[in-house]
Parts: sequence; C-alpha cells; structure tokens
Amino acid sequence: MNRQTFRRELIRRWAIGFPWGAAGVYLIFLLGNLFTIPAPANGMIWVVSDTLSSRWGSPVTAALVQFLWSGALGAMLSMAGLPFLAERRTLLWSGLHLLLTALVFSLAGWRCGWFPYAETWMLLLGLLLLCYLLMWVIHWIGWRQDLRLLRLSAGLPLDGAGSSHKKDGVCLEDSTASHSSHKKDGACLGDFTATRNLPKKSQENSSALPEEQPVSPGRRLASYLLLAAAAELLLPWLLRAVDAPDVPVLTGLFYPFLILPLFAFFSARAAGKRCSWPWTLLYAVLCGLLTVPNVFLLYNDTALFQFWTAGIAALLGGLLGGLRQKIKS
Amino acid sequence: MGVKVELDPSLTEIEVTVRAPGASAELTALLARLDPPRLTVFRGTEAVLLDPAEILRFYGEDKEVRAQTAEEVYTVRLRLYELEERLDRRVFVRVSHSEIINWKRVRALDLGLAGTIRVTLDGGLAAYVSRRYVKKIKEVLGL
Repeated sequence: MNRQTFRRELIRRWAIGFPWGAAGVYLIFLLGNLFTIPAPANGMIWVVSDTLSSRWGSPVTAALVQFLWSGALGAMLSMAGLPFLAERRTLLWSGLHLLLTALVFSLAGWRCGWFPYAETWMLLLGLLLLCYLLMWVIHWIGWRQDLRLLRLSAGLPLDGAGSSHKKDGVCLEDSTASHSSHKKDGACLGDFTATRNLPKKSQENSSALPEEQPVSPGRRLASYLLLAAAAELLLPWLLRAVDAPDVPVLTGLFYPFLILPLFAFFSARAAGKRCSWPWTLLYAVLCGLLTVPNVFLLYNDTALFQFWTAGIAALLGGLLGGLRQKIKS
Repeated sequence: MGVKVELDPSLTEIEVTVRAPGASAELTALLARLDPPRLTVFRGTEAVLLDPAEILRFYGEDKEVRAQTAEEVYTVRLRLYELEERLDRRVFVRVSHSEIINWKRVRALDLGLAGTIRVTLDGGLAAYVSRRYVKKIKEVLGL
C-alpha cells in the first residue's frame, strides 16, 4: 500500500469511527440510566458524568468535550485493522496502535471522568487487550485458511512445509512419464505432481481445483469454533478467577454484555466471509449453544439470555460478513 | 484418449497428428505439452528461447525484468503485466508488485507471524506473497 492510499484509508476510517465512537459512548450512558437505582430524579437522563459536569461548569460544555474525546476514541478503534493492510511489521504497527488506543482511552476516561476507581481503568484496559488478542487470533485463522488453500492448489500437503511430498511426487511421475516429449528438460514433472492427488476431472486442467471444495466449509468453520469454544467455555472461568468476590463485574457485566456479543459478532463476520450461509447459521447456533454449559456451571438459569446474545450477535456478524463478501466479489 | 503409433521408416523426424472431436481443455493441455510455447529471454545481448516451465520466477530488478531458472538469471524485455497476459495465469502467479512465480515449482508454503506467506521454490529459492495479492491469487487459481 502506498502512502497516498494509506493516508486515504486512514482518513476514511477516522471519519467513520468518530461518529460511531461518540454514538457508542452516549449509548452506554443512556443504557446506564436504565439500570441506575434509584432512578434519576425528575426523569432526567445523564449523558455525562458528574465529575465532568462540575469540571466544565456546564453539562452542555461537558457533553461537547465528551463528544470530542469519545469520537477520537472511536476513530482510534476503527483504525485497528489498518496495520493489517501494511505488508511489513504488521504486529509492530498493530502493537503500536494498541498502545496509542490505550493512551487515548486513558486520556479520554481521565478527562471525562469515566473511571471512578483506578481498578475500573485497569479493567477496561485489560478488556481492550483481550479484544486485540481476539482480533489477532481471528486474523491468524484467516491467514491459515488462505495458506491451506494455496498449499492445496500447489499440490502440497495441507499442514507442514511439504517438501518431501512434492519430491515423492516427482519421483513417481518420473518413472511413469517416460514417454513425455519434454521429460528430458524436466519441465513437465511439476505439472504431474500438482495433479497427482486431485480427482480425475481436475487433471484435465492441471492447475484447476476440483469442483467440490477440497477444504470443506465444515473444516473452515472448525477453526472459528475452536476459538469460540475457548472464548465461551474457558474465558468465563478465567474471568471468574480474577473477578471480585462481592461484585463479579467481569463475569456478571463485561462478559455477557460486552465481550460475548463482540466476540460472537466479529468471529462470525470473519467466518461469514469464508463460509456459505448455512454454515454461518450453524456457527451462530453453535455460538449460542456453547454458552449453555457455563450458564449452569458458572451462573444460573437467569443467564440463559447469553444463548440469545451470542446467537444473535453471531447471526448478525455472519450476515454482515457474507454480505460484504458478496458485494466485494 | 487413444494413442496410435505408426512407424514409417521414410520419415526423417517424428510427426504428430492430433485428431479430436472439438476444442477442449484436454486438447489445449496436450498441444502445450507437445509443442510448448517458448519465451525469448536475453543473456547479455544473446537471445535465448526458453520453455516457460523452466522458469522459476520473474522479478523486477534495476528497472528491468529478470527470469530466473534453476541455473541462470536472464533478462526479459517485457513488463511483468505483459508476462502476466502472455503466460498461463494459473501457472505463473503474480505474488507481489514485483514478482511472478511458477506455481508448479513451489516446494513449500509457510506462514510468517505477521501473515506473510513465504514460498520456497525449487532449489530453495524464496519468494514472499504479498497479503494484498492473496485474494487475487485465490481468484486466479479458482479457490
């Protein structure tokens, strides 16, 4: 990607992320009002913290300041995918972006009074890191699947470097292709090896793949399901281990209302790009079902809404992923 | 496909007649094997006719395009995009802005930590697949 394209993409993502960030923060505040006990007097709705209001003297100015900071945060978050467009030092750039986002988040939270306690700040930074880890893992799974497809098209085994496989293929064909007109220059040997393990139909065209997808959608989905199993079966236990015993904020609030739907949405979006609609639907159902064991082991039946949270988020993500792929293609 | 061999002592060289019910991919592949297209490359000022299958990769260097075989590096007087048009795209795959590789001579494909795919060609020659080209490659290869 050249500098001009990079700059254009940066501006585009900034412009998209800014309103989303501002809207997201105000939405959190609005939702917060619904759960405030006792309810605010005179039906007033708070969209800024008391700290920020008193700091700026007027709720309107405070709301404006918060708008700018939350917009900046949204813009930073929307640029999280930008390092993956770079050809080199992706992890370095992505790590740098994580640090910058954490900085903007901390500054925004400090200036807008979002963190009543230092623990809140630490907790949210931890969640930001977790989201990054999930993003990296989802990208990694996508790259692995691309690699598998390319290996298949090159006649290599799906896992491992595959040098020995091709050498074996050459030796076999060498003995059977002795009538080949240009065996002497060895040029056709590679052609044979690439087609050896493919069905007869594909041998008509040495470089084409068979019509039925050799890497089944089920296998493609398996990587995402493995990740979903880790996120939905193991993560709640990890969070419970570090959660406060009196008010389990991580498992009671952040996991079911933030981490779970975000994970389900983004992992399904990635899966939706690579799998067809029925498989995406299956992924959404399985995402929902994977929450059930912990509902009974870690929570109780009142947490069954997690099934719907994960399922619906995954369904929306899968639909969006599939739709984007269709538009692009 | 039926193969019929007629020995005729009056001939001075092998003569092949291909009879087919119509054009097909199989026929094209067979003809390509019998009479492979040649590519003119240069070793200094000397022009050399090369079977494209011998070429491991084409790459840009010093504002010129090079063709590398297992033994030698030649200069090609064509641009990479012209080579792309001229050669079989499913065999000679553009993997980056400056490189086309012979997909039939790939020995290994490995994934780097940052998602870069390293291609090892015959003789241990390494090339790198640009992530931006992965989608195009998949399209070209029909994946």
